[in-house]
Amino acid sequence: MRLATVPDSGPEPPPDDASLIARVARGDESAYESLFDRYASGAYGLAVRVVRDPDLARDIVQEAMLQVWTHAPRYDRKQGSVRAWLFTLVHRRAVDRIRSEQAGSDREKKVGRAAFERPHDHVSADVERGLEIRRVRVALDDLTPLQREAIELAYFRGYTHTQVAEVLDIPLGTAKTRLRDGLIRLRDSLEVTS
Amino acid sequence: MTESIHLLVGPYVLDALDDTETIAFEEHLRGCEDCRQEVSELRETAALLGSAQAGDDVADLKATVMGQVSRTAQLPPQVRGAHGKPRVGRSLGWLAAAAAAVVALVLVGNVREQQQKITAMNEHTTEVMALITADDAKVMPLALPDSSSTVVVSMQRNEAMVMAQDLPAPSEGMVYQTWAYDSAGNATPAGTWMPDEGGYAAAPLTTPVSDCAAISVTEEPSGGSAQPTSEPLAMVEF
Repeated sequence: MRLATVPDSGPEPPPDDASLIARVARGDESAYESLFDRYASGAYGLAVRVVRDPDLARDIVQEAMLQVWTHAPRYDRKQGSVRAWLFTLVHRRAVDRIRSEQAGSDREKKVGRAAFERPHDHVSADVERGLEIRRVRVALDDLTPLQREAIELAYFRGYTHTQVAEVLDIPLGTAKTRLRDGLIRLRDSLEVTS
Repeated sequence: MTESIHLLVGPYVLDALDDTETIAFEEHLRGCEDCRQEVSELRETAALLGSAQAGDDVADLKATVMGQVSRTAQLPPQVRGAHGKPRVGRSLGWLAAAAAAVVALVLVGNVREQQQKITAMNEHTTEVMALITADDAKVMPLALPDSSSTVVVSMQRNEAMVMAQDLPAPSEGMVYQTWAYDSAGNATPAGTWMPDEGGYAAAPLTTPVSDCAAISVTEEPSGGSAQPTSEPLAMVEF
């Protein structure tokens, strides 16, 4: 993972995720609070983009964040960064919700309302975060239209690869390939190494 | 086959596989280092996509969560490989000075053992894959404590299997045992099993499932019991 560059002199750098989660694993609530401040807002942004309903999105983030607390002692660095872990928890939950049949009928009713309640593109006070959001947008723009569309349908709308193929009217094999090579291209332009 | 399943890395990381495909792919991941590496990298990428969403004020949510945190116990850490694997290198240390032939024999023995293990593992994987890729395979959650577990059932194949992830080992001297119930509620033993060091298990039922109305899992003394001797840890009705 790429860490923000911090000047040699100046204020003490904020603790990184790995040391925070190690403290959380030992029951440190203030370390947990720092992680919450770092990621909860973005997690909510993702959840609300996938499920649309702000109340549902809140529930999802609440459950996922609580799981970070209860499961911190079992967090294994080798399986990925704290950020990847947390956003995987949030995303899986969001996708599960919209795929469960029960959500089917509930959602119809709520989408109309939620359409007027989509959060403003409110620019975070945190400049670093703002830059990162920008960096990701630029990387997304750099994909082919088909790669971008496939990834957005899958990740932000919770479509399965079969549904992606259906909606984009492309063979299933093509959908799988676009999802994978699109991600690889994103990885390369964002220089992610785990 | 390997070629095409490798392509599922993208959909998997984006949570764009259905339940059965996810289980099948995770089974593949266990044996494919390349895919694991790629999943781990691409998952970081997906997380960046997710975290780059413009957020919102979550102050009220924070108050709720911090309140919950202050009264919620954390899970104990999972102790992996506590017994430590026998170190082949060390036990061979004193042999280094001995006749080369002896060393060679010992090594051949080890290689064979490894190969047998790998063959057994591949056979196991094939069996698991055959069930979860069956046309009518159904995946049902199984509420084993502190784990993410499922039961996979195929009526066509007349087979079912308990799959567990992150499942703690049973108490000392105990094993997990699966039970199959008929519609009258009579329990038949359907196999004893243990999770591996990583908490993973894929335990096929040793009984056919055509007459099976429900299954449960209990902890039983080593060797298993003829009838359940403790309350079920989890139960699923078919």
